[in-house]
Amino acid sequence: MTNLITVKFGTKYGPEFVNKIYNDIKDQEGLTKFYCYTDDSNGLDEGISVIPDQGRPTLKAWWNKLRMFDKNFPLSGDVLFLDLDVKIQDPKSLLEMTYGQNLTFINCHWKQGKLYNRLSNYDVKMNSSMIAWNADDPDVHKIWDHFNTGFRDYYLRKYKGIDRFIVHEDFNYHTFPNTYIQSKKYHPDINYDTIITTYEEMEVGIEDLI
Amino acid sequence: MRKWKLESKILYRALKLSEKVYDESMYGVDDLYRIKDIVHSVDKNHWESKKWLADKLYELYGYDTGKFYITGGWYGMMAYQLRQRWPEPQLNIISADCDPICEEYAWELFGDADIDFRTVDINDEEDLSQYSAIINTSCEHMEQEDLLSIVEKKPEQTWIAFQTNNYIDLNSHINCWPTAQLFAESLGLKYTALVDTLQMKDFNRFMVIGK
Repeated sequence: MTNLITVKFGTKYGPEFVNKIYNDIKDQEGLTKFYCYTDDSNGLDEGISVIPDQGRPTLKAWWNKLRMFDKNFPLSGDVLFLDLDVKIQDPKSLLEMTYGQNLTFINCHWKQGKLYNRLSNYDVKMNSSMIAWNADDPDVHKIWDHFNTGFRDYYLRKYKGIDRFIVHEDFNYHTFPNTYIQSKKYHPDINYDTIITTYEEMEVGIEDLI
Repeated sequence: MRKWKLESKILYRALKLSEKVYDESMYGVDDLYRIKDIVHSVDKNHWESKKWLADKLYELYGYDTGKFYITGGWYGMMAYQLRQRWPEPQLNIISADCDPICEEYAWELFGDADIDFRTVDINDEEDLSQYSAIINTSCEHMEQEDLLSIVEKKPEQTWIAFQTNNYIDLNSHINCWPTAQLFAESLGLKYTALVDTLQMKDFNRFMVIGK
């Protein structure tokens, strides 16, 4: 059994993106509870459990995803996070995925070439469009604790997002099997069944996800 | 306002410090982004905006003694600009930042400028009674609640000189304001001596000085 959570801060994505994911998954047997961590719960469907903004430190945009690793964040047990620009292709398999209780991200196997290995650009070959973890795992809490030191503002300047922070601050993680995920931008055509399609690095409207 | 001028001595030290960071990245801590951060801290925008604060505070403060406390002091440019204006040793200048690397590098850049660089989080400073001015040019990086706490805890006669900006596109800028006036009003100072705007290339920098 898994909790599913989305994070919606700011105005880039409206409540319809959260509701779409919720309605795609709500009838699945493996779902414990559906959460949305947000600064604005207006328009969210009634069945969605709202986790309100947890307050300081104030974070912008995708950095709010890191808050999910706070030991005081109101989550427990196995959790699956999805970005709002993700389309669920196979809801049943999504909740049946076997990833254990390890912190798990998407393997960006489509990122090829020397550019991604340059020391100075801090790019990474994983992304956090989908994350699985156990909310009671103290190793995961260490990520949030590490962020909230005197270096926090420096990290916000140095890294463009939480993916780079996690990789380059040397936290351990696993990755989902490549076939679980399709990148619409880098792999628009695939010849296998996938569980989710990500629209990362693309302009996406709700009509793209239907 | 005095014309700003990049000083070759400081720029040379920034270059040598960048070389040190690179060397360290080869055999020790790999943190090449510090090079970009150091360069950023001595660029034209920061040189100019910090000199702007020093000049205006100098006009208003009226003494050559006291104790200035800079919070969010970064690598020390603000403290250095104040020391240029107040070369007298009886004016103490403390530059604090919660990032411990800032203290280390500030000593390397401005170690001969009679400035006390420290690693301190402003929230750990309970007693502000000893300071004659509290300066913060990085309010856009700080929680508004913490700025108000400084104003509330400081003695009535202690000067405040704060800067923020309207550059909202950076994720580290969590406390931007659309105008200098709104920023001034948000601080709730009992006495406001100056509210002003410095137009930079892509954004506006706002400054409020008062008590």
